Amino acid sequence: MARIHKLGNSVYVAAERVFNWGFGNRWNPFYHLGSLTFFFFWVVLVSGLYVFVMFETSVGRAFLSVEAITHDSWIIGGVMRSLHRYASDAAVITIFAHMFREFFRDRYRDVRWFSWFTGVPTLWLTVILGITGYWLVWDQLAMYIAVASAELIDWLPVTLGSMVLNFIGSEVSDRFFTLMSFLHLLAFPVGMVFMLWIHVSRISQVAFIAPFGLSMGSLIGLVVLSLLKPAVSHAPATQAMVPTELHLDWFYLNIYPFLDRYGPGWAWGISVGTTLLLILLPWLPPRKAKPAAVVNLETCNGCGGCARDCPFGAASMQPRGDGKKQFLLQSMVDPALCTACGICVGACGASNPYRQANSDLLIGIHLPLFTVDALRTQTNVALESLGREEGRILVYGCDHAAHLERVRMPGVAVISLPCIGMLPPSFLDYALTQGAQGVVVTGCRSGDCYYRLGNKLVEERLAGVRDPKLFTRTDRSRILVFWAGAEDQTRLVERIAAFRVWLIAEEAREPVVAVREKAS
Amino acid sequence: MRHIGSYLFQAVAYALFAVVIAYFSTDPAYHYLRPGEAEVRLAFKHAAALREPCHKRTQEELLKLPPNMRKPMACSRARSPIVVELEMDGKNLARATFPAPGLHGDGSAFVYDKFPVPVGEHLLTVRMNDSVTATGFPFQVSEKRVLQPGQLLVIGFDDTLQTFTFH
Repeated sequence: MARIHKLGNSVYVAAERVFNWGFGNRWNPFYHLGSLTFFFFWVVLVSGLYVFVMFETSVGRAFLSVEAITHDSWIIGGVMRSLHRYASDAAVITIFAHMFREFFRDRYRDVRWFSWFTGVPTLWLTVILGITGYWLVWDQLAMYIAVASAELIDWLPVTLGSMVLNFIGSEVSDRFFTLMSFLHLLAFPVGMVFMLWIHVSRISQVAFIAPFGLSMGSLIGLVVLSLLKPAVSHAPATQAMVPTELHLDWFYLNIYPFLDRYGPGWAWGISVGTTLLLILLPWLPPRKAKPAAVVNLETCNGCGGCARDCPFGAASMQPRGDGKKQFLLQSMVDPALCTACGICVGACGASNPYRQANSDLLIGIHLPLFTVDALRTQTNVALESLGREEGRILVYGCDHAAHLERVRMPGVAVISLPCIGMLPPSFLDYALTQGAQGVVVTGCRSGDCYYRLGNKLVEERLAGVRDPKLFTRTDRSRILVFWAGAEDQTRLVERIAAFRVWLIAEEAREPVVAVREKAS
Repeated sequence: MRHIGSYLFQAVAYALFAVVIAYFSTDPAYHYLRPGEAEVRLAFKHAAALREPCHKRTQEELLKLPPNMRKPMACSRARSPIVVELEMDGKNLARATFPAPGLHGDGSAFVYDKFPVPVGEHLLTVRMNDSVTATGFPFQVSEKRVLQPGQLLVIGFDDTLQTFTFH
């Protein structure tokens, strides 16, 4: 499985490198696949509402009303109908790109199984919504889909097994058509909204809105497409003929040719088999999750930083349970939601390396596998290893971005955290006062944090707009923040080298005497 | 300030995205039938004869039953499977058995199958046996039909008239 992840991820990383050049980090569509899908759903909803107003939900009038929408007022109706179709198709592309990306990035296992798991029925709903939409046009394609869908349903042993007779040999009733309209216009969309809500319910600060430029670019692309190639119907549905040639929407209707060739048993087998595989993927193979963050009530002052910053809603503030009357609340961690990213550690107000200098550094919340005391110890060791090299740099990075070992060299020490969001800003000041001439903060690219929010939170903490803030006394010019994904390995090395050259030049101009050097 | 090349790249990326959607939203065309083909479908529901004939209960049998259930005739619920044959121009297209559905095997059998056939004039013969006690095919109809390209000919069974229909 790891090999599949690595191979697929390398393809994504290569594509993202190109798109980072072309779109810039902020608008790179690969970093906004989920929110882009939401945007396409909005386009589908708005265009669908327009089409619905003009649409007549009866067998006799449906086709004619769609034709009128398409041709009589093509500049609005035709474009709206086309947008409805093309935005739905675009959503399928972004959904699958999103799904594969999360899979290859290994962001679907452990406590993140829930979002993956709930995404599977959302996929089904998307496909069913698309299929039922094509029924409503009531052209030859709709008739073909109706008959083929009925064949699929009739095959199931739990049904009465004669649904297909509604479409051959007898007139299709208006009531059946009303049912289909109800399903497409109300039941499935409501189900979809519900499933999407469930899908994102275990993450906080959800990015529902794609960047404006990216949304507008996509919308303009779809409008131009709608003008150049308007969506049109097949010939009207008739029971006397079967279609010889069909222009299927392969994004939604790909199962039907398979059904014709191999029969409903195989079509169900493939669909259900794929669904089961997707559902079970988070546990294939099973693995032991990292231990969750643990609250230390002795030092938790109930500041709420962990609950505010946790990207997965694992930390929350609850009434105090230890009787300390000066604090109303305490932090609580739900292990079922904790990814052990350590962002709560970086958010803890007590997370300051200057405290408890001669004993274990205890803060309100910690990761059992990587305590903040261990981080301070690693920092001290790293600073020690820098010796008296010129341009001494300590690099704080994360385990999921550019490989930090490749930037390690004489004069450059490296510490890797589970997520850069685990780094309390006070550690930057600490490193600079304890011997480093410069500090580099690096991690996943902006908008692409493995744990969703790490780099964004660090930026806000350093900018002084989020607690815990970087001390005002800290020399910002000696801190380099450079987000570097796996595709930016070379750029990171070059950037650190340039920073080091600058530090050495600055040192020659105005020597910085570190606290440790002073002491010696 | 972004480089002009990056804007060009964006334009190309959006265009490619649109081209992929434009193409796969309608193409490649799917040929359900080949040119020069029509389709014949067998499609009907039919309640077959009971598997065992009803018999008149004896006085002894009636007395064993509760008073409110003493119907003079005893009938089993299970129905016979249906055997259907379809021939075209003397050649067998299909021969299949359709069991009666339901927990007690007492439902109407659903017969459904479809066959692409070459266009032109054909003699179609359909037969059905719906009783385990009957021999041969008590129901049989032959019709000569001229099929056009893409035409759908549905062969059904009219329970009221007790005969096959071609439409």
